[in-house]
Amino acid sequence: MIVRGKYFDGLNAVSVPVDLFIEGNVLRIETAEGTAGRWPLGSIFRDESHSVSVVIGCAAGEDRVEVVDPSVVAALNISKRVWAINDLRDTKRILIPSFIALLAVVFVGLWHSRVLTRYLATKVTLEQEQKVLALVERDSLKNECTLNSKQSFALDKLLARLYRNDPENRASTKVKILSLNANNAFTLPGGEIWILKPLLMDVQTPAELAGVLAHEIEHVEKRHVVESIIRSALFTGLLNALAGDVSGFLLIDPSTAAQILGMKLSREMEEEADDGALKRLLAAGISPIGASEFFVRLEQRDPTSGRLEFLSTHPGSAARAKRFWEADRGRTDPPIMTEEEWADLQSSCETVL
Amino acid sequence: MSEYQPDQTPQNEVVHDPYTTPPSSTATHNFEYSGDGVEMALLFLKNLLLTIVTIGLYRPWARTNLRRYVWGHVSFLGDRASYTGTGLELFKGWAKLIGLLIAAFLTIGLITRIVPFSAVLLPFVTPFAYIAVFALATYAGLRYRLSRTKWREIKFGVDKNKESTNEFFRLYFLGAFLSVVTFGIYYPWFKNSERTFLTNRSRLGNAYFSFNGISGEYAALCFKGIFLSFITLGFYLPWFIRSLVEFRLNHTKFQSSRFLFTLKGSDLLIYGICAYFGTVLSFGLATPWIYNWGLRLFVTNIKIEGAFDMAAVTASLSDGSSLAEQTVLEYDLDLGF
Repeated sequence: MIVRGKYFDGLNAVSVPVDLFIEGNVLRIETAEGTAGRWPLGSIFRDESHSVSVVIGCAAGEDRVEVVDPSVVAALNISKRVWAINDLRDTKRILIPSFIALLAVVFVGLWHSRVLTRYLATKVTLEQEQKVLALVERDSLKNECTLNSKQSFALDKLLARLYRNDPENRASTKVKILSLNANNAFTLPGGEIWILKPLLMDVQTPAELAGVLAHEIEHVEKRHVVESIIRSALFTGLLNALAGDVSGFLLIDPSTAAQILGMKLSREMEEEADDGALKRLLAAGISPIGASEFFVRLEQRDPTSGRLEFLSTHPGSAARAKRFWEADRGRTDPPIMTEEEWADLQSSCETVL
Repeated sequence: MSEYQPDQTPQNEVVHDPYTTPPSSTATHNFEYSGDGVEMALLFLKNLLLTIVTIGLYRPWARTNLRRYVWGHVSFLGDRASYTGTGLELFKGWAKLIGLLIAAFLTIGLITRIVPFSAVLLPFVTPFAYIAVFALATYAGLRYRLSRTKWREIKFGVDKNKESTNEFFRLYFLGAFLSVVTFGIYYPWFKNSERTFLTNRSRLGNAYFSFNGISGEYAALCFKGIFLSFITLGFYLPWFIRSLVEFRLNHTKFQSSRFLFTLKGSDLLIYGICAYFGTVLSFGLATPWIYNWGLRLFVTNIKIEGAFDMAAVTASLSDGSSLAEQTVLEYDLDLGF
């Protein structure tokens, strides 16, 4: 039997055309100038570093033969295991449908992963969340505002009102005011809510602040923060693992795709928080019109917020304002706090960093 | 049974029949890439599944699988390259780095506990430690990767001894320091010096590569590229990237030949746009195809022009035996270089 191939002597960077002859138990490697080698068949192995072409060697030396016709593998009685693993083309027919099916399962799974992330979030204890919080807080606590007794009383009064229907949960939430230069409020792991000073100055009435706090309280009650962390780890980890070695080569990090996928879940969480906040405000006897007016102001500042809702973590402000406005039952409840208390609370934390 | 068919190549291209490839040449020769998107996707899938199942431990093996595939599909003069590294080696490199970091953190913790005042020095010492790790990863990582790369069964390599290691550390520390104090202005000079140092010590067997890029020219290219990218809101970026790669390759020589890079900026722009939208809209699932396309684009646009004599290239003694391979202590530290 004759099989053509290329011979590399392992000494010079030259490629020599050869004919291969199997003579009994020996493979004879024949160049145009004569015999380059005689390899006992029992000593021949497949060089696994060549995953694309079939390259064989003999236990005794550094020289190699690349065999152009893969049928030589069978003829030389070399283990077919390596060949089967490396020749992906042969397994295309089975693997492609499996691959597409798996991707579809992963995609659908991620899209509907709320069930999983919600379940995992319930398995994280408040103590574990507070440990995470301690890491986050380490550098930011220096910006915490110290409230005087009257300001603390006013804030407690507002919180007690918001927890009117579930006072047993009141202890799990802690509100802090921070002198950071951003108009925002957010929830951290461990049931902590941060109201940043510019937002405290921006809200016009206690009812507006109540709307913001009710929304954040719902994030605490529904464990959205820890669920977001789990979701982020799942999505980003999975897609980065998919891209693996090559993400640096691409002009975009695949984790961006994960973030976009995650935005849908963020919107779901925000909608849940709005639902809960609405119910909480009504149960507390606080008019949702305050929250609605706050959203109207947000909409006036950023009229585009509802147009690209698909690419946003929050629902559009106009839709939220309308929803809270329409839910108002026209009830007159006792005021949340006096005008003096409100002015005093807003004057807390004089310096904004 | 598949059969070899040498007559399938189009008429107008330079053909390298594997049976008649001359050892020496003076023409212009292309690098070729034969990777397939579907195969790449299957490889990604295998790597992904095993990485998930092993909670990330498979990653060094996954990286090795990918390198073997990519290296094996890059060919020159009709002969494919090959990658001989193993996942275990990469894993050891990673473990070594983690061990070093743990030891460093423990030592710092212990010192600051015993001498609390020493914590004041940490912000000054830490950057030096980072620079040392990056320098080590750059030099040792390149040395590892090249020592595990073969073409026509001849290994590539990077020379390294105590003196050159010290020289590289000096170059790296000085470059990093001057880049910081000049707010990045010195960075192109630093990177060009680094490339000169590493390329001039890189070789195929006993034949050395050389790099003669002038730092001032490279810096001018960088400043022009950054300026134009800025004022065109990033539109010039593909041309900028292309010009940097072209500079690096055009100034790299092997024997009497030099490298060329023929990719157009417009091709890179199209690739960038498609890669961006392809990745985002497919939620990252098109990554293997995009990656494979990018590799093909880059590799097939690299050429070698001028005279070289492969018959004169012989295996270097220090790389020739498997014993030498076992005694190479450098591992790829896997910092993304």
